[in-house]
Amino acid sequence: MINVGTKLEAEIDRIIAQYPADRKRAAVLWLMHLFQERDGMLTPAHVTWIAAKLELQPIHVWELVRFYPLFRDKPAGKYHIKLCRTVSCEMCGAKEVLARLQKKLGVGLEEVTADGQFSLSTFECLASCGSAPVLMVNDELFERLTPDEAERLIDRIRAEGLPTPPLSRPGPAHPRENRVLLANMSDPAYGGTLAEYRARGGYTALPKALAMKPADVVEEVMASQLRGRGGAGFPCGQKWKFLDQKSGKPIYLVCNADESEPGTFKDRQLIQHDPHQLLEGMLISCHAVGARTAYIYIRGEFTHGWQILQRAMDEARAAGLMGPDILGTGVGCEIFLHRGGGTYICGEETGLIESLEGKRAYPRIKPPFPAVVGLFNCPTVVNNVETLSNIPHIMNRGSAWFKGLGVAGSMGTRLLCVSGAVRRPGCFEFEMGKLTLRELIDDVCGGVPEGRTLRGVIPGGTSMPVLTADQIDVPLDFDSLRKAGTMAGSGGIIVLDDSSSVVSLTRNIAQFYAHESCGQCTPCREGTGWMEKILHRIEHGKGRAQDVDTLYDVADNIDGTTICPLGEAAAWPVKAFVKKYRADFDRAAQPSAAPAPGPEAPHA
Amino acid sequence: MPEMVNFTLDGREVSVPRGSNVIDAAKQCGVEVPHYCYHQRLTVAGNCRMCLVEIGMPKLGPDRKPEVGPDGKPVIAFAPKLVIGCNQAVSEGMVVNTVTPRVRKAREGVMEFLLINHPLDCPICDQAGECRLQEFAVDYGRAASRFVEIKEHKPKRVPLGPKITLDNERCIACSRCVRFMKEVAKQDCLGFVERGGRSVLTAFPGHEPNTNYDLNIVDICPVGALTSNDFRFRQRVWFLKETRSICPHCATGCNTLVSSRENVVYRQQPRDNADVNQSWMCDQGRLNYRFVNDSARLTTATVRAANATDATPVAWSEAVAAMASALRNAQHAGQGTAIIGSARATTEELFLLRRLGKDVLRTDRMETVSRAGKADGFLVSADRNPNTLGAYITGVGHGLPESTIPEICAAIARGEVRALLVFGENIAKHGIPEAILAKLDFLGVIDVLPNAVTKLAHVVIPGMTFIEKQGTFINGKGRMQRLKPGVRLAGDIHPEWRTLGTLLQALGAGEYADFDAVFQDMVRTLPPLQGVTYASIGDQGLDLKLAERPGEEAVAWNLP
Amino acid sequence: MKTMDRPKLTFAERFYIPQIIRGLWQTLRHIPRKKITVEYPEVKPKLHGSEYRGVPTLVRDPDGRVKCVACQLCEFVCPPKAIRILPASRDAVRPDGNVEKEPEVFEIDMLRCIYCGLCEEACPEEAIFLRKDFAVTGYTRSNKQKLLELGGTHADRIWKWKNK
Repeated sequence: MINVGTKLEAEIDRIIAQYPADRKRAAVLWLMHLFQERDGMLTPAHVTWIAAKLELQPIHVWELVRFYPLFRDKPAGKYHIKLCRTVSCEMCGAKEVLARLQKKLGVGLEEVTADGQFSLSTFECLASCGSAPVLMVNDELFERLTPDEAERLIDRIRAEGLPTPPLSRPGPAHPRENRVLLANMSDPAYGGTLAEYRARGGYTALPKALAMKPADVVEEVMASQLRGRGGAGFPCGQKWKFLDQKSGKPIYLVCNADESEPGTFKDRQLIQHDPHQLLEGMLISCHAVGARTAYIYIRGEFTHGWQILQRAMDEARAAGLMGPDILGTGVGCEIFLHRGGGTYICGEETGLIESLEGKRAYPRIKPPFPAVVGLFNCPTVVNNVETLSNIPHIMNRGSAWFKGLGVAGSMGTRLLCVSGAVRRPGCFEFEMGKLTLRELIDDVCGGVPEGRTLRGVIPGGTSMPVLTADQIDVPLDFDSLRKAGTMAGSGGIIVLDDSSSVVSLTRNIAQFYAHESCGQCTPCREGTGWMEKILHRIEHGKGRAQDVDTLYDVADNIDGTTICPLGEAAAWPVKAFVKKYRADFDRAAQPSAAPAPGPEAPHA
Repeated sequence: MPEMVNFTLDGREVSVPRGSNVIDAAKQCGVEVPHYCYHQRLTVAGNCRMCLVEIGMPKLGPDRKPEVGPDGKPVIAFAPKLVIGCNQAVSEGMVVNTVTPRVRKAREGVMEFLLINHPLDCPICDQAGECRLQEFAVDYGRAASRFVEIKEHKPKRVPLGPKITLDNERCIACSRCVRFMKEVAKQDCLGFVERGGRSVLTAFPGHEPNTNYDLNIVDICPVGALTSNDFRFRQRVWFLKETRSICPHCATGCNTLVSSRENVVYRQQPRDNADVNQSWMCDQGRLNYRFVNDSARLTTATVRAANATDATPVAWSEAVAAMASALRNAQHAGQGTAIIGSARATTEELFLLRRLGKDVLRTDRMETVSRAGKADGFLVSADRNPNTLGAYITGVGHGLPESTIPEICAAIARGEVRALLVFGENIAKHGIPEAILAKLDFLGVIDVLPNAVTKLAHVVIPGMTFIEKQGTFINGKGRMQRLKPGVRLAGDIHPEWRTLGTLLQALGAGEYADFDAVFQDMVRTLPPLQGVTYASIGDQGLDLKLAERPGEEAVAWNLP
Repeated sequence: MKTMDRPKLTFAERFYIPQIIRGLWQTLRHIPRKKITVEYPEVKPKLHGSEYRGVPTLVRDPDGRVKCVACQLCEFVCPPKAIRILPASRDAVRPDGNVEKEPEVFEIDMLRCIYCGLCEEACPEEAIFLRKDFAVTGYTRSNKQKLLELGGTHADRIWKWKNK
């Protein structure tokens, strides 16, 4: 039996009211977060209580506890460490940090120290690749850790408790940048409050848009040719036009703040440092598409992020900028926060919708598309944080201004995240197409470290095919990158040098997708694990010559046969690496090849 | 006649009803599109990816009319990726290709993915011989395996309720069982935990399946992940003969397949019938078959002299003759006779009982035993007799609430009725106690298992269960469905229609050369069955449309 | 109808003596020749290699586990239907192999067995083998115990169930 006090129950009821009355199930992730934060883990008693409260079967709650990695059904230490194991962090030394932590604490993965103080696990990309390697201790993020610093952190926590480091933000602008979205936060003193946002001209676009007809707002966004910034690059205005306006059902806008594509850490900046920019963008977009309710699906690991957004929303509501009657115009809009549970597949729009509805994040078969049957079976549009953050600027300065930035087919600015083997990683904002990938890496980010050779660059998050060192003279816009055989994707640029073996990197990426596969459809469920196992074997010197062809063929069998694009996302990197670095793979798969140095790759 | 659409399947122009999906449409045209997760009676999941096919639609020009190519045929725009057939409704002009190299490669790929982590359990798995993984691997898979890694290990032999065992390594995560429990059995208790290749089907502890329909998930599981404990390890399916039959445990009359080997029944499964039981049957009916091979089955006719305590085994023909003689004597002596029939008997048997009562013994005293239970709103009828309508139509039974059994009992007690024929019922438990039965001059019984009545009887003739004989049941909705013999026990056992027919012949009431003769006489005599032929009943039964037919007596058919 | 005349015998043929001498000569010719008769049972005949098919037997693996898992493929393939198996559950969590099925009854009617070897070919578990010798005797028919006795231990290289 679990004890639920009146205060907690009131909070729970408030959360349940965020969702339609016949859709209480949607509140389940919130409830799980609340109970785990209070009690440290979720027991069968919790499962039964939550199920009864939301009128579900216990299995519906239990299957979520065992799907979303943020939830635990075993006790953790008072300080639970989540160490990122994905590509950029591994390249920057995450393995060594892990080894040192294990030695220091005397525990293995998923174990608790004898004094109950610390527990350790690895996690997939925590969206802070520019300051790799990173780890989280409970809600705090610690960046750029060396093994020594990691040890010192443990000592410090033991002595003084958990420190709360300041949230890092993008550094000063590079001369070639053109900061629109990052403009406010470029001032180190900018705190993101409503007053500061307004002082810099914020919330002037909203009344302007509210005075226009919704269709006109849509046309303005169409005219700007803004393309989605989440990964697919689909024209935003066009997506809004697909919405079924005739169904009589409520329309929903969902902000995809589940940034999990490895190499990407831009939405984190926008959420943490300029939340009102996003909120204003959402409010305008809701007016444009006729949505009275919007949800921000924020990844569960963004612990400060959701609190910052909640404060911003409270500020906005108090100022009459959000609510049943915005600024007296009669237009109403409510935005609610929805915390995720730590799953990459929630970044896929129908996976996100399923997760928002309180289920396992199994993407839906399409058709029907979310524009017709989406959240709660109503017409829904899902937009990325960066895409929505552009909207106030387009409304304020006009689509013509927006079109003046960037190049044909890729208008406006783009947030680019550079991480991996560069001297100056970070988050930048450039006009699209105005510089090449090589210029970005060499001129802006200082190139690869001293004495190292560039081997390749992943241009848009690990899902996108890698470019070799001689292929990076490509301008950074959607169409040029597509012509080069890859895609702009999420804007997460990972630089690879010769300090890591290509086989190891490919294995790391394959391990990511195998871990994140939701398991619904056959090719991804079985194939991603198989690719990981083959690469693991080759990496550790147990490969055979025919393994490389098999690996490619397996990836090819996943490509195009799955329910959702995670199949392609898993297959493309493997195919690209094998094709472009065949010699590396062949060499590693020789019977005489030595195993890769270092400890076994951490596998959570 | 449903509206049809025309489409091209592998180069052939065909027509199917509008709304059919590609899998069903192809099946109607004789082409198999392999699939695991799709099931006609459940919602579409689309997760196995085995039914991927090439789909193309006529390309529309700017005038919204189909573009025509140089060969005069419409230009077809094919979808860039393969499309799953289960979720794709066939539309006019569509082109579907199921045997191109792309489709072949996709099927090989999916088969390979399904097999890489699948355990090498075929020699011990009950599904062997009826396993779609085996079948499609042979038809569409690669011959050799190139997987040399360690397979994913998951829990095996997990109890899922008392009737089912789950093996998670064999599970291919098609989710048919999850959808069935939610949509049909209405106990939404199954789900997947873990993620990706580690996904495991499970029920929350204490909330395992516990409905009367759980075993249907064993049927629909395409592999051996869900197996029935009742059938576990008992027999290999390739030894089993499947006989199409009807469940004899309630008035729904679910269509069944009875599997037997060398005259022993091993299991029952539902058979598809859209008008009766779709693809399902209840667990109680399914599991109730062991009485067929019960070692106590009556295998020889017996005769007991009036004052003897023990009965003597005799040949069947002798027993029939003895029964005929006793009944003839009772008639000539002007004594009352009565017949207790059974609403579990076939219509033909009831018809012969009617002839015996009406035409030969000239008695009004005929009744069947009623069995009332609680209907469950799905397949279990409140009437637990499979042929109540057969009893009504033949006039042998009158049913609730005016059963005449108490009246017959009183007549025996008074000495008015001196001879009683009991057919297939333990009447001692249903209204005529042994003390009353003991008063009879002649008690004749035809039944399958010994009971208090057979002990008291003067003549006992063994009968056959539903799986040993031909015959028909009329279910509660007026559908006539036929039984088929699949099992023959050792012993001097004859089908009851032959026993009764020979009895009638001995009493001078005509001769029946074979079952067909009985059936012909029956449909000729009973107005509600006029015009029915045995062939027209078929495997799916025949709706007699009783509401539109005249009744012999002015009694409503009492359809539930 | 065709009539054939019996050929007329010559005088020598009618006399029989030449024929008798020819016959005796044949016999005498063979006396100094090498005999191919094998004097069984003191001398056993040499069986040729691996193709010889003797009595079917069941084997154990080096851990002592009966390798047969009662899959009944041999029962199915056996042309004269000589094999009868009754499968049963086996406690699976054991160190000698994680397998949950075994034969409770395994009988081969040796009067039916035709020594075709299809059972050995069909077996997926390398559990049934035909012996390489003949003249096997005993006091019991071929039930499971007898078959295991005759089969002995199989030098398993695959250990299929050990690591599952």
